[in-house]
Amino acid sequence: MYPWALTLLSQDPIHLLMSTKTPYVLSDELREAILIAEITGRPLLVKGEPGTGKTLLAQHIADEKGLSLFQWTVKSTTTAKDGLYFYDAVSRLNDARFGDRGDQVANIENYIRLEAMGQALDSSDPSVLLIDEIDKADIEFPNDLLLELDRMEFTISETGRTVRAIRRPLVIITSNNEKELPDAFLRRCVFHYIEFPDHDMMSQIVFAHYPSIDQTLMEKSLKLFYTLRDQNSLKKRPSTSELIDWIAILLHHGGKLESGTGLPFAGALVKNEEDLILLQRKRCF
Amino acid sequence: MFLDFFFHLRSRKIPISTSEYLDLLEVLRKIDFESPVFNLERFYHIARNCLIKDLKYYDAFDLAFAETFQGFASHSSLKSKLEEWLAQALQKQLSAEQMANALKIPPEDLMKELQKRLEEQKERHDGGNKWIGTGGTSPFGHSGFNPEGIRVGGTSRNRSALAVAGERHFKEYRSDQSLHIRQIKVALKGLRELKSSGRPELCLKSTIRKSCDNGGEIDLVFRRSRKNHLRLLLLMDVGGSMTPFARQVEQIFSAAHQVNHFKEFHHFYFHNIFYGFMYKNASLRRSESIPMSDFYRKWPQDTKVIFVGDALMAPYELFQMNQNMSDAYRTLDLHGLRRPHSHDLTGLQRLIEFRKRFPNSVWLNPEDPSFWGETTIAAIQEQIPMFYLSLDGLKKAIDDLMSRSLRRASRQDQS
Repeated sequence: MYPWALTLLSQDPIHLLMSTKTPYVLSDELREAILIAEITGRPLLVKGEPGTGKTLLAQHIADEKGLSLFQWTVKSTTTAKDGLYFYDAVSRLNDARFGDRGDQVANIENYIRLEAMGQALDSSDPSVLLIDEIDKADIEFPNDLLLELDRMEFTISETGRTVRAIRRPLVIITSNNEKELPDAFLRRCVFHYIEFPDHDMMSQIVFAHYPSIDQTLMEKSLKLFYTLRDQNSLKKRPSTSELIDWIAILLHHGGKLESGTGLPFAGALVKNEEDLILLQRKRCF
Repeated sequence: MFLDFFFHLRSRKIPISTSEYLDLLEVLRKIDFESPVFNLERFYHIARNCLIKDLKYYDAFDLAFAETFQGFASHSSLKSKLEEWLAQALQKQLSAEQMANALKIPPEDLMKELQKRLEEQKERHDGGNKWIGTGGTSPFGHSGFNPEGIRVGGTSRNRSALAVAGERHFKEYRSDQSLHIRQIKVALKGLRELKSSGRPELCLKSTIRKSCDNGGEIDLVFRRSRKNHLRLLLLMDVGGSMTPFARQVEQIFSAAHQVNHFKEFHHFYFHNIFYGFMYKNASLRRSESIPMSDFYRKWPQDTKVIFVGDALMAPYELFQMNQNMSDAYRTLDLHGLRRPHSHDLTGLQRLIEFRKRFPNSVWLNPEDPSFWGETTIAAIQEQIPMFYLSLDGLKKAIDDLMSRSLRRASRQDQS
């Protein structure tokens, strides 16, 4: 059992983090999912529409619990080893040939650099590990991580040293559904799908970002926003992050939203050219 | 009760195993001691988080949840039984020693133990709704549990878990019903045969590694890149009974077109069944067609072929010679009454011939499988593996294509 799991439950249902960092509103369901991940000691796999705050979640959890965050952003070329450690062979070669640090060259350990996941496992304090956008990498990538995630240990093949986690880090994995994840991998995760926030939840989120926002402006903008999202013909529906940006622009321009003037600054909400044309043609705003 | 739920889930083809079930039990055991509120809503979220690993199963989960717990909230006798059991369970749980023991059981033993319990509970279950009370071995439960917890705590939505479950919020994400271009693309990526090709290029990573192994003596490593050697032909039925499915066909076409990782990708059209020609255009213009003889010559035998069509037509189109209307009309236009080919084959025979030429072919049918008893569908299905045009079906079709070519490759190796 994680010692900080208790503190999670004693919090208010909606916890607002007001600091210099981006505010984040944690829904009850997501809080539950995190608690379950902690109890079972399994990684939490978070999916959801882009812009629903999957990546921010890990940062928020780390801040809230006062833990260090290790972030591993997966790219299309990432392999499983990239997140564990890096053997800087080029530096070593350079030092061996041209450098005068002969004693350093003899020890491979000097050229091994632990990467995000390696650091999280090596850390003696409890930590949060974020594996961001795991579906970006090759289809087989998650399978290569099974053992490491299961046992929370790995071996550096160059030195034979085994890095083993003293405290299992809380692992949060995000995915955009671009590739189907393998079953064996899924079986080891706790899965949560972030639903798109409803009107009430969204008001809280907006309020967390702009505490001094005018009530009528918020209502009006949210109404427009949800009407826009309900247009089924849109190729890319605007999400929370776009709404936040859009409101920022509105506020910057005096915070007024007149009805009947169309959709101002539509470019902040609609990112697809075809969608923009479609909106102009429809004249529904 | 939970076992009922478990088997309801399984009967809805959700892939869950004992390990997920054990997870749920573990969470329930630990969570209850810390939380003052525990209602059906919370249980819904906990169970979904623990048991379900993909969005596409959320809908099935909702259905199973509603099915299992619908009657539960209203049955007063069941409720009192549950309360009785919870009271007993609570006493048992208070034994700290038991808790300590439970935590020490190694995973293998835990599995065995669960197996034992599963069997035990099945027996008692037959006798009525009593399994909940079996010896208190199941460690979940709390006096705070309210089986009628039709209330949402915390949030302002005021909907019960059952109502949420009943709404079938996640219906559109079912994989057996909807197809999205992105998902199709992901599925199509499964179609690959990697082969080394091109000029060898310097592999920097291996070169550095090799040089280091050599103690600093430069050792250059060259590698050839690997490319997908797979050729795919997509043959689509258009017009008539296919019109309602036009959108699905269009989706699969644009996905295949965008995937862009095949060595060759071509698409052709036909109406109902092909005879002498395949058409390059959906309008089936004769001027843009290719005779089957050229078609067969053009691509090697290992080319993968996907038919998309409902295989529904008037039986004579399939079983009699040259009755395909589109071909016949077009032939009439150009050649008067002359038949297009001297060697006459029925549509079905053409299909058999085709399959001999391209053994790696499958048929995707957008028509609901319950209609597959129809004469023409059944006849075509006999000749060529047929799959329902859904994400599941597409994946199965691709598996079929890939395993077929693998089998042939291994057979060639043996001979």
